[in-house]
Amino acid sequence: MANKLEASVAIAAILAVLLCSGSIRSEAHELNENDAGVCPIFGYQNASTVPLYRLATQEDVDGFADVIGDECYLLDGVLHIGLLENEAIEAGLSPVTDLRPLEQLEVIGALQIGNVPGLRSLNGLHNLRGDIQFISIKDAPDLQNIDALSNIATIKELGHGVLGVIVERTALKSLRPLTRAAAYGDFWDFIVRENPLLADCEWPQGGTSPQSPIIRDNLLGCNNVAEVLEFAGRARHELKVTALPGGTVSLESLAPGLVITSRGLETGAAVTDPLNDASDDELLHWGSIPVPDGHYLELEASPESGYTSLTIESNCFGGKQYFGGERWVISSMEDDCFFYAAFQPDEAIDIDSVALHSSACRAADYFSERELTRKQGGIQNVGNSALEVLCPVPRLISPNPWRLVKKLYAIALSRLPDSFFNMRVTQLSSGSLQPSELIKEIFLSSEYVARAVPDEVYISNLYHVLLDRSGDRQDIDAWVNQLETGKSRAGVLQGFLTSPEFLDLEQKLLDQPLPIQAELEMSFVSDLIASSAPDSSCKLFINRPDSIAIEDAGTEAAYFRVPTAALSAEPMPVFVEHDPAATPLDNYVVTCRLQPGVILAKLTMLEK
Amino acid sequence: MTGLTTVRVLKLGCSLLMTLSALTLAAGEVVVTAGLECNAVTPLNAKRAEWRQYGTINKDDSKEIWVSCPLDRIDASAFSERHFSAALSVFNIETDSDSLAEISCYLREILGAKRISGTALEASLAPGEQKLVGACDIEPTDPASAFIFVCKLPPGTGISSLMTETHLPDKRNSLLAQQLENAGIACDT
Repeated sequence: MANKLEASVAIAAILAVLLCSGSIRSEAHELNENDAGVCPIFGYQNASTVPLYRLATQEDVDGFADVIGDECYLLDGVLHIGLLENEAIEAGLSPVTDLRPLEQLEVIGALQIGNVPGLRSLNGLHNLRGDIQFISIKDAPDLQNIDALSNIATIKELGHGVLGVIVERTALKSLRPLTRAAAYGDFWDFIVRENPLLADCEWPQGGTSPQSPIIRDNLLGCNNVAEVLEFAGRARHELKVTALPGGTVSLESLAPGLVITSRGLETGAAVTDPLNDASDDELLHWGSIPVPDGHYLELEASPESGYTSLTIESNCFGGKQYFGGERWVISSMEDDCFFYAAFQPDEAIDIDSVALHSSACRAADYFSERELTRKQGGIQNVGNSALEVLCPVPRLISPNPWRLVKKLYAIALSRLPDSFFNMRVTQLSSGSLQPSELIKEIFLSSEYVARAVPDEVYISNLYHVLLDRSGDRQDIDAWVNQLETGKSRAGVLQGFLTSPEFLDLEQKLLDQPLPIQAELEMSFVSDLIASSAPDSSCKLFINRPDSIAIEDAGTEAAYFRVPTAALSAEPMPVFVEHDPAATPLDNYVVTCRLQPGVILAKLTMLEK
Repeated sequence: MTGLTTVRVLKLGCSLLMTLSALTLAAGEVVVTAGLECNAVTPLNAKRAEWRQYGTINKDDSKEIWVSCPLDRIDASAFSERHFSAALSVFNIETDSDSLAEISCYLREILGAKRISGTALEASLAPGEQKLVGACDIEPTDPASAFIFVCKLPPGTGISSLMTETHLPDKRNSLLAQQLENAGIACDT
């Protein structure tokens, strides 16, 4: 009770300050302010006649009804939730994390949310309905859904300042249900940027189009990269940087005065001033960099451990490749261009994989099939508009004993298992043969010795078979050094077999049979020059057969874009984290919206 | 394996939501894929079919369709004896009617464009129901043969997933066979 009283005092004090600092609204209010449903006005936005209701802390939110009255539901002004930029929270007060005390509100003029770490949803605003002038959500790094806004119907001029939608630096994956709201007005803003998880690129379709949408710097690719701005009197050209998983792209050097606006591309990365130099982290994965004419960039693709760089693809004028194609120097920017870096795993020995030619994919119905051709190179959309195709994604699940024996033969002996296969699997399954015993038997066999592999290959074989990974360069070198200084291969093998990492994995060979991760690789190409066409996009769905009625859609497991400007025959990897409750019967389907001319060649699911 | 063998039908439920760890350790390699892989057998049948994220479905109001579903057969070794089990999940999306939908399927082994063996399977589906149908521990006639399911789908029914398993001889070494038996359904070869 005492806390609630203190909270009420706090919010009253804040509202009183706002009342004193704001100008008095002189115009007659169009609503009947004596109506109990209309919330009383305590203050106004500076130098305006727009009522402002500011709830800076959780205590303000909790005490809202006490101050405003619990009968009012119509708030004819701006509801501002959260701290101002650079405002510190007072000692003893808490940031806003729970909006449920606001559920009495049904109509508000505008919603402004900012600087609200810890706020995960807008539950509490679920009774809001009808029209609103603007919705601004900024710096809400934990905000994961805005379902509470599902009854907002239109965004329209109500006399409360700016008009439109701004969503910046949130954890939202989608702007739904806001995308169902129609916007009206001759000029309205639509600014969506620096949302690292935004993967659903559906934008509002109803009403009028925004005058100048700004959609950029969203990590997963929901960006409007056609934007060309003016800077220092010169037109800037866009360089679209795309780095697939497995590595990063870094700027080696920057010309003085170069403006980088691709900030905040990595969750948790330090955000630099957009008017100053950017950090390398800012160029991770997706982004777009405006480069002024007359400047130059040096870009380098750096693979992570276990990956190697593929040759960079770029159509930037004047670009020169160095170091086997891993580094590009772009001396001038004469037009918008792309820079595309892909990486592939080292020594990919994945035996649990199923590759499928895309001719197994199909359009949703007989009539859409007519827009789809099946060539030896893959399926192609030969129509004039984007086409939805569905592809089954076969999964191969190998039990550990089976997998171990096949992997041992493949890596150590470079051949298929022989007639002893059934016996080995049965022995391993029954426990009469331990994995370490079988590994010793194979690596010490005369067949393996006769292969006379170099020391480095021997160590690499041990890493892959025993530890299920590539070794770091320095670790491999250290083992090789031991061999070169007199240690026997059998001794090194014993070192691996007694290492905590192997002993842990050996136990898991029996305890953890279902794979927990997979990698879906898809290859796209185009026989058209279509760099200006919209990107294609795909969604991966998981279906779980069970006894309940089947639903129209499975669970969406991943979303990814296929950049038209950088189509490549190289496999495009998508990492899949299996549901912890996965069953052996789960199956995957990928649906792709193929742009005209785009070919989907093949897809492969590799279980990890 | 010759001729038609026992029909095996399993209603999916909690018994299938187990991981391999609870199964026989000698379980074979399983390939799971979507029912989307099934093809209508004629263009006329294709006009009545739809392919959705959850599989292939007969969307016609009154007519049946026939579909064929190619199955993945992996690791067919000429050196080590391998047996084959296969299952598919079928569903009835209709909810307006109380009557059961009868789905008939045949698991066929094909070699050189000729059917060399077959197994008949049937399932009765209540509205909104989904079931697993399977045949297990089949000794393939030839290491190079291929398998397909051919099914007759009444209106509103479909196929959501396809499962195959290559395993060591004996149904005790089969994941799918064990799933069937755990549900109390005999799994004769």
